[in-house]
Amino acid sequence: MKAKGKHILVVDDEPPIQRNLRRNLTAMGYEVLVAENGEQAVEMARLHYPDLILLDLHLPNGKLDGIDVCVQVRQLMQTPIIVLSALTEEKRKVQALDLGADDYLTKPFSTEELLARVRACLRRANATAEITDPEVLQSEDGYLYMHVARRQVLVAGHEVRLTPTEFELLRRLMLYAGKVLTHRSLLRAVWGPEYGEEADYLRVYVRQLRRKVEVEPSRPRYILTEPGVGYVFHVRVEVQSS
Amino acid sequence: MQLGVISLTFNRGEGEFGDESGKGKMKTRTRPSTQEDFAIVERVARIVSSVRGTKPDYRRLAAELELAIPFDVVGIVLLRHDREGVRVTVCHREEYQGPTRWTALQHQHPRESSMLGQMLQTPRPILREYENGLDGPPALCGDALSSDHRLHSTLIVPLIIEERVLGTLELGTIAPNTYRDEALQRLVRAVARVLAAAIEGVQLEGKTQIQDRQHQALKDVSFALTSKMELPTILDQIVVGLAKSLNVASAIMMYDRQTALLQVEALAGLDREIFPKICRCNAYVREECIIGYTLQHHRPSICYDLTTDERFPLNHVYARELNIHSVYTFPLMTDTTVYGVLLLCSAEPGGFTPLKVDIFSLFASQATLAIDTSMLLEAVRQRSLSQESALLSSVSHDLRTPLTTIKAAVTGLLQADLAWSEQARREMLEDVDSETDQLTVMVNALIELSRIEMGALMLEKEWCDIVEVIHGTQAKLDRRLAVYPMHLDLQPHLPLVYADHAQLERVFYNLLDNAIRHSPEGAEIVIAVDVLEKHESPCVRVRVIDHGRTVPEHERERIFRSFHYGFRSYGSGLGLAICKGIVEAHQGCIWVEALQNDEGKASGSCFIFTLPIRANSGVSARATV
Repeated sequence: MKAKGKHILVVDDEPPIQRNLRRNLTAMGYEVLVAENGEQAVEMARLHYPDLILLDLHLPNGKLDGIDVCVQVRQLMQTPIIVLSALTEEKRKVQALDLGADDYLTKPFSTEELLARVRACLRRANATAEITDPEVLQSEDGYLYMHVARRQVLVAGHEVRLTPTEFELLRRLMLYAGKVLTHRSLLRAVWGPEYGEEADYLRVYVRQLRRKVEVEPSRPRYILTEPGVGYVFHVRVEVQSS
Repeated sequence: MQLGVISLTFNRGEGEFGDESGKGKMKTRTRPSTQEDFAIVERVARIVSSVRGTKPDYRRLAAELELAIPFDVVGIVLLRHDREGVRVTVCHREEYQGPTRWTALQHQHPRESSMLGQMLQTPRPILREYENGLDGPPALCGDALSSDHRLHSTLIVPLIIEERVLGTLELGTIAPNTYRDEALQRLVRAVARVLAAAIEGVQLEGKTQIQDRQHQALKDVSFALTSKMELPTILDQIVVGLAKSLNVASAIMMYDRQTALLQVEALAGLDREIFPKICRCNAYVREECIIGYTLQHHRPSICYDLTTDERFPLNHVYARELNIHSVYTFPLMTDTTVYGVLLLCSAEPGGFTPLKVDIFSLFASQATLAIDTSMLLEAVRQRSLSQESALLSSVSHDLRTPLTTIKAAVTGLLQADLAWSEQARREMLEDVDSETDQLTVMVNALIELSRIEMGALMLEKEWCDIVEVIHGTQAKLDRRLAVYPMHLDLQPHLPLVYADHAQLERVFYNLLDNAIRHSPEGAEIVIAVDVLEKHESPCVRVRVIDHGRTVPEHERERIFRSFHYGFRSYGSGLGLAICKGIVEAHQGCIWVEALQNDEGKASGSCFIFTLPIRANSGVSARATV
């Protein structure tokens, strides 16, 4: 997918990191905008409608911090947001994801990792923009096949019976393949807006799902655990619309 | 409190009068004049007011009663709070010229041998005539009256309110046959009821006041304990609090094991010079002193009357020099060690009610807690002082090495006059990359370790599949594990463990990393997981076995400490310390054993940790290093 023309807004208060990111992203063909604090970030997002936002959660200069930026940007647009978080910021990272961020990178990160995430995010954004209601979801290797309308799931060609909840859970994971879905977002999406804290509950379902769908449930290849954050469907998924 | 209307329209001659409610049988009534009515009501009011207030004025009471009731001696006997003794107030007429005056004397004696004791069993008026003058013990003749030989006629009525007997009213006259008159008896009983009501009111009020004082004192002490006061200040607050709330004198004495002497640490209400001087006597730790007795027997002790208690002859001096007549001691101790004694002293014999005793024990346990805590803090402070320097020097060393490498490489690359080959350039940059990784690992480990040590480790527990955690860890170490055949020995149907997934992964990561670093290439690494059903709580046991160097016995504890250098350590020696912190935060245990081959020779190490399947409460790790 072409990087040309894609605008990325970098939000970070530290000049070395700003320079670094600008350099690397520009070298890959992206157009880069830089904001130094929360207020600037929201302003620039509003003005330029970037294709992606790289947001450092730690923004000490200004009244808005990373979380606030997330919330405000989400109110305006659906632009994918990757948060850059430090090791000690686990909770805030999850909070950002719950509030609308799409992915995260833990500092210090390698350029390789950064670019890979950026690419993945842009691709997902593109894909979901085109297909809002997929008919078929299939893992790249063909192992998992899901026909949404027929509510049919095939594992290595054999039909597998899933409960409605398991089905919905799997569908959501596959639809957002590559993106870590937080416990909260999964609970809300599958069970309803009153849910959010019952990570244990979710865990049981994931375990059940793995038993039906994975080759080695204890060594999952498709549905992976992101400890402390949520779950992710790790393999690429092809989406077909009707 | 309702007095009711007690019509004291008593005519000694006729013998009829209204009862309390103003109703009741009345034949011909001798109607008094309104003036007299008023006088009577006023008198009743004065009777009541004489017994109210913190110090009842029994002389006034006697003066008021005298106007309606004949007596030469009147006694009010009240039950003590602890119900073990009786307080007696005896009022005699003063035999001097001028208007009649009354003197009041007070004393106490045990309930068993008292008239009141009997009255409690069967409350009833007791009328006695002594032809030859009163002669007999209190139980027979009256607690207040018994010592007065002149009396020939006595009447004792209970001070009773509803069903409760508070005390007795004792009346005696020198003249005989005074109280035979039934009307007089009824009057006396009516007066007794008024008195009882008034006294009870005072007692209840007093209780509330005491409670308020005690509350305040308790609050003060708690505050002292929770704010960071020095130990001497806390001890001071405790004795002052006790003295204030219980109206007694109080002291704390600590026992110095080395000199075998008692040291007065805090005082309230006792003479600051005399008391410590007396206590410095080294005989005080003997059993003949109540303090010594407490120290030796590890039990609270009470002495109701120092002057007469034979158990503690050494304490008679308290009565003489300090006017202390009863003492309550409480040992300040933990488990087995007695630090000292908390003392309560009262000028009255038998001065401690059960309520006071309860409060006392509460204060005593606070005092022990304070002492214990401060000793602990002292010990910790000593230890951390010695550890701090080690930590600082290792941290600075370990961080500087990679930084030096990075600086060297980068400045080299920047130098304009040096021409580097593509290869050299690449190598230096790779160095920078790997040193940065190393630094990252170290910094992360430091952060984790400080979290653990500060007790700030917040665990996000959930039901984890250990096998999943192991696989996750393996994935992260994939490259480095490639040259080591890894074998998983897993008990089938392992239960889920309630633990923090990410932290658990860290434990596995560090243990595997350790195994990798110390194993010869190609040597097998085994992870075995099974369930131990030991005692009441089953737990999961994980063993990480490698064929590297065996940890010698004297190192087996030290390697789990932070910044351990030497045997099987690497980098900054933090990995195993972190494992320990995390495992223990989950209420588990971690240790290392030697692996022995078939010939019984040491051939490797086995790191073992256990996790209770359900680790309950306790969100942060203890400071374990």
